[in-house]
Amino acid sequence: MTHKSWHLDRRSFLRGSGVACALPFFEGMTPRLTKTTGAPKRIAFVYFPNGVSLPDEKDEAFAQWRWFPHGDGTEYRFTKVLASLEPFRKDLTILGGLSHPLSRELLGHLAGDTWLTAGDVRGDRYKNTISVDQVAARVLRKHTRYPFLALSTDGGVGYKSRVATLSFDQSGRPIPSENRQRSIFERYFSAGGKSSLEARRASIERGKRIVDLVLEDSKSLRRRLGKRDVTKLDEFLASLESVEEQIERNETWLDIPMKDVDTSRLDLDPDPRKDPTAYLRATYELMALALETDLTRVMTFQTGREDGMGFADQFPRLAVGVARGHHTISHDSHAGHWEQWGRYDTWHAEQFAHFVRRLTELEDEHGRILDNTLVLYGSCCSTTHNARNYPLVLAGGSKLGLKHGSYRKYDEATPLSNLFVAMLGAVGVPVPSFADSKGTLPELFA
Amino acid sequence: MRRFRGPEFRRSIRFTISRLATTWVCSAGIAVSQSTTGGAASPTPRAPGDATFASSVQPILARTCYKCHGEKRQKGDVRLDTLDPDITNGHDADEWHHALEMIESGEMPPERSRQLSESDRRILVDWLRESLDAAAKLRRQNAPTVLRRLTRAQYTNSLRDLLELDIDFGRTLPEDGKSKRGFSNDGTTLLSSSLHLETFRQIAREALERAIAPAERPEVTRYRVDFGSGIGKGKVAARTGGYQSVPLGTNDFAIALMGDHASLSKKKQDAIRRKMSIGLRGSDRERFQVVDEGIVLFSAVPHIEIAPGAWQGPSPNVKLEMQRVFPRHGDFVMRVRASRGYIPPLRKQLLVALDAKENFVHLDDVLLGDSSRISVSERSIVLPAADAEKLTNLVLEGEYLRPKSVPLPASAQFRIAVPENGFYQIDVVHRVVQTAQMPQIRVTALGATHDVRPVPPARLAAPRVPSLPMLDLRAGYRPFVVDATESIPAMVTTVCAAGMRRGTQVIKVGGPFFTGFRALVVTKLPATNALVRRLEADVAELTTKVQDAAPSIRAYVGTRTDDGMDYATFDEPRTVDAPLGHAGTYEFRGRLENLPIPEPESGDTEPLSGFLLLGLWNDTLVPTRDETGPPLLVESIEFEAPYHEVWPPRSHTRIFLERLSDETEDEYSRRVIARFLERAFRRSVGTDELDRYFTFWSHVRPTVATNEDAIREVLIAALTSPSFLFLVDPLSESESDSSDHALASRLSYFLWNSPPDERLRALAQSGDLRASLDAEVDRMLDDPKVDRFLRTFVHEWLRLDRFDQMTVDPTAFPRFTRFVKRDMLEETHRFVHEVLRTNAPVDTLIDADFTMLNENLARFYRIPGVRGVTFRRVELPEGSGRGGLLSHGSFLTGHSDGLEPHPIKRAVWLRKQLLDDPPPPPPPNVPELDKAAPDFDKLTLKQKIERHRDKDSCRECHKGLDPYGIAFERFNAVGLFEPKRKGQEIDATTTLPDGTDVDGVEQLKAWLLAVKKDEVLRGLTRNLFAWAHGRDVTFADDEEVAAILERVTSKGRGLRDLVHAIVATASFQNGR
Repeated sequence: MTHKSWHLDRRSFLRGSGVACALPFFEGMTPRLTKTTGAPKRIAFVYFPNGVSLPDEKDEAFAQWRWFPHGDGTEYRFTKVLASLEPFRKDLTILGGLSHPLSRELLGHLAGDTWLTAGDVRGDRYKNTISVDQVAARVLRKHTRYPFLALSTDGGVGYKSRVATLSFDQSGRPIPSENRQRSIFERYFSAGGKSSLEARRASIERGKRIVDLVLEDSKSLRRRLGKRDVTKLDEFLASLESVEEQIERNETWLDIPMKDVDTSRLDLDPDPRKDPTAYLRATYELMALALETDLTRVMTFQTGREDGMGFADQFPRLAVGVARGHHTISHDSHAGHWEQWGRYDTWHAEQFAHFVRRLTELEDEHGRILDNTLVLYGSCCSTTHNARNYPLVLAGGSKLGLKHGSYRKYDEATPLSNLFVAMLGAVGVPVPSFADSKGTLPELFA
Repeated sequence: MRRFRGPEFRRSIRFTISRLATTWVCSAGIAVSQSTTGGAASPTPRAPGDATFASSVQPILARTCYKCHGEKRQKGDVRLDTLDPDITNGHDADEWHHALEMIESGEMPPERSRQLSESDRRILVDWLRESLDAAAKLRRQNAPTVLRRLTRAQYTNSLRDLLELDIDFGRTLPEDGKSKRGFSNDGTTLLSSSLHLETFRQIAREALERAIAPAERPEVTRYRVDFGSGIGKGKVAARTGGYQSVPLGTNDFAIALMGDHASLSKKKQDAIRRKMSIGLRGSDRERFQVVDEGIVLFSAVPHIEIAPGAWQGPSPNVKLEMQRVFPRHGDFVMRVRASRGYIPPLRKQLLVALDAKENFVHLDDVLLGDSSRISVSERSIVLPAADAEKLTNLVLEGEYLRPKSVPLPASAQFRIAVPENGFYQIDVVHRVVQTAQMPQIRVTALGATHDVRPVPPARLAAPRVPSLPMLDLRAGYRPFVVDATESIPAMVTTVCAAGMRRGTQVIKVGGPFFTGFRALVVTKLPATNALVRRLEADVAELTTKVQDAAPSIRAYVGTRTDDGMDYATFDEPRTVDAPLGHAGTYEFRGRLENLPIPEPESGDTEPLSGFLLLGLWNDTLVPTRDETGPPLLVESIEFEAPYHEVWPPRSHTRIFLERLSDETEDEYSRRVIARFLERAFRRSVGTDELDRYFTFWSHVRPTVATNEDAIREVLIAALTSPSFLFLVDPLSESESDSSDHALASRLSYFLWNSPPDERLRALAQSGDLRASLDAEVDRMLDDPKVDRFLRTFVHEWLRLDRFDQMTVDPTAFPRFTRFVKRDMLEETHRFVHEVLRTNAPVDTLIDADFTMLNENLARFYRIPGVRGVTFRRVELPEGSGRGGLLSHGSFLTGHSDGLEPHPIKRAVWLRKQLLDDPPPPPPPNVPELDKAAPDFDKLTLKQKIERHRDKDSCRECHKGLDPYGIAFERFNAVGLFEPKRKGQEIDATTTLPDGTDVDGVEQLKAWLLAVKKDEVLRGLTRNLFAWAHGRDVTFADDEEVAAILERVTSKGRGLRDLVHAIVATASFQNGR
């Protein structure tokens, strides 16, 4: 079913940001268009829930249906599951054994909340921390129209342990993700639609005035609330400020035409209840397009939610004809279940391989998009509910110093956050540490 | 109560223990009651800050509790040795409160462990009580009120009421988060991200553009289509074909253009008519027929949830197809002239679909790969591809004809000599193709066409066939099977049956996206075949069968898609009681924006895109095609959009008040803005505030053409203001009435999930609200808007989202259709509504002698005597096994896995949702069971559960959990009573945690009412309290909750009384 918006009007004055970093903390609140020197550096994250098929050596499915390859180092051999990535061997690294220490004791489903944050979500007061994509966005946002895109199949934020977004802001609050390809396209790619420059300038003006009034109104309300709890109002104010920032950003970009690209491959109304392949590819295509046009340099895409939530749970039935939900498959134990799981993982990996291929096909003046883009693909559990040994593929970035071609196995002394530190460094966001990191992963670089 | 000692375990192999062990966590949500970090780090115990604690309390805890809840082990995820003993100022009061509850209830220490001495117990309990009382007092005084943003539903309802536009405004907002209890209206979880703000403003702008009327009344589209055999002869209309289409011939209907189109020239009118057709896609041809008086539709047979039938609507359904000649927004009306119908004599020459039991020949078992084996039945006529005539877009390749270009239509023709009158099955032998590539086979004969999509048998599924990405397929016209090698197996697809007369008949096979084929097989069906029996049944007999039942109409709107439609029903179904020959007019109203109408951009050049569908089916559903149901006769369908009762619409005149003769534009605008702000902000508006908005207006006014444009900008700002978006209880700027207004809002968002109406606001304004609260609450509970509250509250409280998202295996449960699913939800909502309406005791939720049913659901539950589409209260017959939430299909199905029941999920639901006593979360990394054990697959459910409980880490928790679930065992995955499963009687005997033995749900209900009645009342009270306040309930609320319980108990435990009691609490009245 496609979701038709009841408002189809293109005249809206503002096509808005995803969500910007909530606190005026970094880089100032007034973004300036920075003259880009050198190639754009980009970063993207793609997530899938419920872990992967990992039969052990005794099992007959071990040879073909284990997600991780056999062997290690540069001599590793793909099983059927990741075979679709074989053509990109030189452009990717398989990572084994990594996980977030603070999530290891948690149920795998809960670890989904922390995949990009390494946060501590134990305890009954939900407290997450900023996600790695948002750290990147704080710096990379200055180059682009939009600071980042947070995408998913379900949209929204979900709730603890069943989040529907990978991105968390500076205060650890979930950032709502977007899932409808058509509205994503209209919001970000065709800002202003076909209206004239003057009309768009006028609408930006109106937008600024309204924001000013609402800001004033909110501040006066805040005064009247006295010493009552104003956290929620402050959250509102902070968001309002980032709206204001985006309006200014839109103004800055107003005269700069969007790069002309081929949009013929876009499918804006795929129906996930009928054709999950087309559905995932439609979002991947939007991501590829966003990278190609330099719309943003930071993206997250959650392809499904943990624990059978959301319609992605039905993908196995629709995509590979296994009449069970993805989550149910991950709990299964009947004879032959590894193969069912493995076939689903295979299909999912094929869609990712398709995305990687697109990034090798698309080029800008600095060459293949993939070469200046880091993409991390993976999940937060190995098998069901086991939040260790995350299945991870790191692709792209040969011009960012990455040295690919291996299957690298780590032990639990190495937290996954080290990888995030490494990735951030590679895309020009050097940080001394991220969350619970203990260094970086120098072996990934040439 | 009967007790069963020593339950006997019977075999019932149903689900694997690993799921059992772990998924219940998932269904419970994460009810974390963890007091400290889970155990990765080793925190240092805090120094006791209290002398009594150190000297007398801590030693008792150390002696009795720390062994299981200390440094080494944290059973049930509880650790006591690191809790802050300063209960009043520390952060661990909730955990201490939990400990107190466990000690007082006798659950802790557990039976076999070291018990507390009487004096130790007193010391411990007294210290906990005193400290907690002090903490509660402090908390009540200082508790900050969390500002609540309107939820998505509240926002939508607020805009609906404010603008008087029935549009689902909030649809584009990001989904709201849920609280620990699962509620969407908890202030702490309601975010205001910048995506929210952007969307709020976008919605506000577009909503006001809809609300404010244009100067000119928009053009009204009004079409009427009359049905009747031959009435369209010589008139203009379209016939829309395409994949699996079932178009009506243009002779059988006529289009009248009314409204603003009536005055157009004939040429222009005909241009519109050429864009209009009637389709019945999804309908079996023997379930409808055009007659002289109109079109007869048999009762609809629900579609099975298997692609693509699942999105073609039930059979039959008829729709007016309008291609790009319809408006895109506004209210609309559909008028149907209809009466009871009759069963027309059946046509003998026709093509019909077969269902599984009618399929006579199963060729695919016989022939795979070897052409010499196409000899399946003596009755079969085998027509090899090589013998076909009149080839279009086909080329012979070995024994196969395959399309030269896949997307283009292909065709091959056979002339066959039909030996005798009768029904024949038509099968096609072809290569296996991937279903993802949407291959199809079309058979044309007898002036009709029939399409099917082949589904390869599981063993031939996708991986053995080369894959071709959809995109490539679209870009370049390539065949499905790149190289038609011998290694690709053949399969057989049954296309349809044909009722044919003796003599020469022409059959064509092909179609666009054709699979190609090797042979066409035509087989005579014997007289005993189910299809033959069905189609040859006696009309008189059928008519007698259905004479007591009335047909009904369900209306829908949708968009045509390549393989079906994207559609939604609107308005309520109508029972058609007009007798034949005296048709009545049945009117259905809706709003186009809320329904899946075509996107304006959807490829204007595509011949089959941009179709708006306006359709209906006979909603007196029947489960199979063997029944006709009461037939419906439709004479005409009319569509009018946009539909305006008055012009300008009320949405406009509510904003733009009548301008007084002596008013300047400034004065008028100030008055309009003031009035709107008061309604939007749900309170009186101070001068400073109004000045701000007015100043904004005076800045905007010179920059726009009309005052309406200027005022619109002001109103957009108002609808983005926190005063609109939040439930605010501010210290007023000047007015003293603000707390009364805040109370009015709290009340209306509690009981209506909507803003206060004029009356509530007037009472708040005059200061009379507090004095008339009881009467107001009653008025509100009797208002239809109470449904807005119940639909959300019941959904979230009972976790009906799980039911919503449940996909039931359609092959295992063909009777569980989407209509049964829809009606199960209705049952639960209407049941709770009925309990509230009648002020029935809360215990009724556990066991009731009635439920809410319509015919469809009653038939599914096998409860006789319920007729018609409307829901009503049904007194349950003795021994029905139904009554109370525990027997509702919505709960039972929502807590299955779509194939098998899930006792652990059901048990967790009972404890969490009904008893408000969530079991502790399972430990991380639940150990895998030894699945390799040779007997594992053979274990019964109980044995698996027991094996699981043998594990030390699991036993404690599951002891208090499993029994509740086992009691539900006789209800299968779709909530049907099933005394036997797989040939064995089901064992639903179990021992509850207090030692009571029960067998099945009836006894469990009896036990709940005897032993847990107060817990149920308390559980609902706490949930309703949390909803009413938009926050969680803590121990600081214990005192008020206790007072509510006392009041409600003394009044007879009625649900309505409970609502009154919550409204009467100080915390509700003061917004705390």
